[in-house]
Amino acid sequence: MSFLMQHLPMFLIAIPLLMAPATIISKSYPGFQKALDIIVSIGLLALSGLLIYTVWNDGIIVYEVGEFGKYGIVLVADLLSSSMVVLSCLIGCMGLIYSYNYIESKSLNLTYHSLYNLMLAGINGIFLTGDIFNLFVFFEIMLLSSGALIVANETSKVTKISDKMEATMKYIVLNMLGSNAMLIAVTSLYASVGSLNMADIALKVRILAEAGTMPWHMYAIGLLFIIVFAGKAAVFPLHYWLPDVHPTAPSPISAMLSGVIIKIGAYGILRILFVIFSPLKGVYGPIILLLALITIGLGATAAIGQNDVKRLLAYSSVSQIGYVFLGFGMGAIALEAGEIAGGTLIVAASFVYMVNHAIAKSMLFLTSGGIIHHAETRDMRKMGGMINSNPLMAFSFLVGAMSIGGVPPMGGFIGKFSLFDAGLRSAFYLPIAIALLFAVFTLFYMFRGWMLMFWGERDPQYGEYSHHKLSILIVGPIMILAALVFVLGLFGNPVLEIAQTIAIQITDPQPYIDAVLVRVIR
Amino acid sequence: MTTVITKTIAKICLMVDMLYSIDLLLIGGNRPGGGFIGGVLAACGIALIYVAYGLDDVKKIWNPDWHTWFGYGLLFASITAWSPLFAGHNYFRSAFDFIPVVVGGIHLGEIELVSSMFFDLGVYFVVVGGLLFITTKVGTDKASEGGK
Repeated sequence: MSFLMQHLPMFLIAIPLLMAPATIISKSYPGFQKALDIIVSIGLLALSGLLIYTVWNDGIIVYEVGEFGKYGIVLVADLLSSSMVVLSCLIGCMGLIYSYNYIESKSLNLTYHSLYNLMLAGINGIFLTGDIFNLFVFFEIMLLSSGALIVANETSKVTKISDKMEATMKYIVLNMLGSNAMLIAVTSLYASVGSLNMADIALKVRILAEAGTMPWHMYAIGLLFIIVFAGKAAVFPLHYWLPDVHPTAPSPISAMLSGVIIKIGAYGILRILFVIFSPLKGVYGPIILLLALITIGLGATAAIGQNDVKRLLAYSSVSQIGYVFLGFGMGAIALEAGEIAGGTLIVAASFVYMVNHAIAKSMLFLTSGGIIHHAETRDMRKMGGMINSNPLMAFSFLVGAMSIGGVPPMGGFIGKFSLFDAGLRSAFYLPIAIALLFAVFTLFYMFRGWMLMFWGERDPQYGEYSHHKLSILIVGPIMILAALVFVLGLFGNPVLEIAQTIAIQITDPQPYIDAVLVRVIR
Repeated sequence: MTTVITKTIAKICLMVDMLYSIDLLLIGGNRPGGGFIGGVLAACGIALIYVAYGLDDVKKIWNPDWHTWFGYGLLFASITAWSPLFAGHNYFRSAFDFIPVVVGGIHLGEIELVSSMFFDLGVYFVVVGGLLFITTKVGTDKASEGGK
């Protein structure tokens, strides 16, 4: 047990990294391969639960990779990173179970398992690393493996392979540009402060700010990081790749992309804004606030006109990530103005929003896969009356739509309510008014989609629905996530409590810096 | 591209290329080099043979499953990274030792043995396997489309 506890943060990266080759080698034995992968991903979920339990009770865990001492790479599991890891392991596990009947078996055997594990290793690495160059490396692992997963073949032939190629091209090229910008930012930061350890950088930036000798290019480096993470999270000027990429990917991969991978951008912004460039948050806060408001409006307006179910969900993701960033922007402004309690509350609320959106949206994408299986089209105008032939999908889509729209008793209601409440307490009247207006849009487009698909009758010219019954492997994960949406709405207190503690930890980075540096310098 | 000149030069290049890539693999760690760079160089040399002789002709003589190379390389690298755990150390901890070479009582020098060498070897196979898997896959798809 002590062996397990001693190496706990590392296992969450090293086990998927070991599973990737193991699933390649066992490709001739598909049954064994599937069983192995599923057992390991459930084990990872349990380990991530153990991690958050340990961090909640005993504080920040620091793990030195390679025992290099002062110059080594550290893995830091604070409450924020461990809760993000729980999210990624949960959605990753559900997506994997779902894939078994959704992805074509040849593609599944040959590359899917290994790439999926590499993607999980990359995502967990991004959340757990305490070294900014290491963050870049894990970004690349995640980017390349998820880019290859977008072209995985599905059993249904609704999405053309040429569309998938185009989407992957866009995804890889645009994110490579982002990675390039990130590399420039990381190297400039290293040239300026001479360190790559995030806690060390945070300390040095603060000393520079306190001494009043902050070089001008630090502002530019921070902005470059914000551009990179905003590009990952699809915030306004860099949002245009998402509505092409997320719908063309196979549904379990869309769920991972929309559920976890765009949250990486939000996680990065939290780290950059509140830990590393903490003294400069007053400069970046208004910029993020403005971009977030534009993103909310743009995503919601564009989603109204969509007729493709997955494109609708993708535009909704753009709009919803705007709400998360709105919270970060407001939080940064409030904290800069000295309202510690108010700012902390806003950051906590946007974290709750992020968790609820991740679960509801990944559930909706998995549901859209079930709908596509049933209707054999992605166009909502060619559907209708599915509530009779497929009531289960109608139910889960309704749960997701209510959560995204912010209707009680779903989890999304808690997120929206706490965000707006916290914003109003700190007197952000105009941003909240705009956000509230587009929250109505959200309700409208989600329910428009639901009504188009499930009410009315299907036009006979599009043929009958397939009588192929959805297997338990497809329905099971959807139902588990739908139940979680309910649970988060009805028993929201634990998440709110965790979010409150995360916000306290992240807005005052001193304990993080102490935990890392006191252990590192021996 | 399959002229006599290209073929001959590709063969010569392959030999020089492989030797240099192994050299880069071995000196990595102390000087510029290592598994990744060596692997890229080796993959370039083999890709040159594919270009010069044509994918189908090379496959008749020598057709390894590059995907499996990738798998075993990654497994090897990953196991190397895991192995310090069984000695009570952290993940990725490396060990090294110097072995003096003494022939007939004359001290010739020292050989440095580093455990991260095994990791580099794994990376080498990952890079060779990964790059050539992609190259051959893309090449095959294009060839079959053109043939039809």
